[in-house]
Amino acid sequence: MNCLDCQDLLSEYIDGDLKPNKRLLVSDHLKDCQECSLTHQDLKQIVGISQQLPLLIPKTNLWKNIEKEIKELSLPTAPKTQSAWSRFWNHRFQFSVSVPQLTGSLAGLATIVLLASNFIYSPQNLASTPSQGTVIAKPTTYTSNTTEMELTGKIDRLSHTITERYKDWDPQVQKLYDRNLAAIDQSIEECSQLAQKNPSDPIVHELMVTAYQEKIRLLEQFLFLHK
Amino acid sequence: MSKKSNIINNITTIALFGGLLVVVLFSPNISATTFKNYSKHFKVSPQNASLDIYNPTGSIKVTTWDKAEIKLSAFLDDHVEVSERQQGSSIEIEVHCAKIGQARFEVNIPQECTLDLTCLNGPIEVWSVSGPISAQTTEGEITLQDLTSNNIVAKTTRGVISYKGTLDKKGIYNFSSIENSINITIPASNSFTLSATASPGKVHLGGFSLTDSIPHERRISGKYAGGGAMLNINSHHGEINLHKHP
Repeated sequence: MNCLDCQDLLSEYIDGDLKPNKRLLVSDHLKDCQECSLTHQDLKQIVGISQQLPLLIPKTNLWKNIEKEIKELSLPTAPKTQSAWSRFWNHRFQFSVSVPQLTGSLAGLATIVLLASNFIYSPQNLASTPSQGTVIAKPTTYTSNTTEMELTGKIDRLSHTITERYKDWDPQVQKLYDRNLAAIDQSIEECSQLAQKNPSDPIVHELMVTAYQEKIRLLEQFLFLHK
Repeated sequence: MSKKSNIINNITTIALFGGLLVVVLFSPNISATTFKNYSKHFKVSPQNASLDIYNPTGSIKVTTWDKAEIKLSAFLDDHVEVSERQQGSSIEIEVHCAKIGQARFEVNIPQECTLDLTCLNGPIEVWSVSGPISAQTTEGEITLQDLTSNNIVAKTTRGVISYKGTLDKKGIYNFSSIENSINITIPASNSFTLSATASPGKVHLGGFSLTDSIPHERRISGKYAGGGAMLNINSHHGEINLHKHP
């Protein structure tokens, strides 16, 4: 194994996700290579520290926004033919502005926006308590993060295949599958309830991820059984 | 009693036993399951040896010996088939069966051998191995005894995990059970960084006092003896118990 291969596998090595054969190769390389060994130590330290950091849950629309931005950036920018009006406005606003002028303008604009927002802003749920004049914060609801959504997507695909094969299984295999699936589903349900109560608790999310991964392991094992 | 009635009695007895024998032999519910013995030897280089067993219908027990070979013995149900593949010192064993039966494997390996063991409804037992180990089962227990490995992954859905061995300062140890307990017995002289996640009140440190610990309802984490081996333990419904051994 060379250094490049080793460093590619270091994250999985630290997470314990590598197959024993590969783990052994990485481990052997680390014994002989000081540079990779140092990288391994650094990475292990980072993983150790990051495990103790709170898990930030991205908003559900974050990925959509990123996708949108990527699309916009990757769109070919065809040169636009300028209309007479746009040529006029371009010409009209070609003037220089000094820093004090710009600062003053921005401050004025900000004041107008603030004043206007007092008249326009009407938060939801205020209709019932207009006299109090306080903004009622919406309860933070639990939303699955990206990892969890990816895992549930994989679970859905595997479950679909299992459902197709289930009826052909030996009754004892069906019972074994049902028993274990029930145990994991119970854990997922409990984690889900905990996550609803503590949406920003990283450890609850980790538990949820573990339960999902365990379900994937179970489904894959039963798929492999009847290959 | 007359001679004639004696003959009738004998005929009746023979007929009854004969009938019973026919019922025993041909009834699908009573017929005895037939078993077969399986045995294989593989020459390997101990430093590079690896063994991968997938057994969805039984157990695996692994012990070590001083020979440069891997020996597999099994007691198999008649309908269970085994396929083997050897590539250098890497051995892959796969058990095939259409229904749940019996396949009890007993394996001898060189101490440094790398192990990847997967069961579905049976226990896994590993003794005295120093190579990396991955042991995964669904319903069975995982027992890891007298190990000196620096890389262990043990996962079960409904079984207990028991580990007794040393922890390498640079090692990584991941133990996970959804339904059951995880018992870890390690020397008091070892150092480790612990992350133990379980329901509130179900983690027992057994006298290991941690520093740099971050309190959380469901997780106990921190360093013992300055930190070292990464010890990650996770149980959704079971207890996590750490024990010291001298």
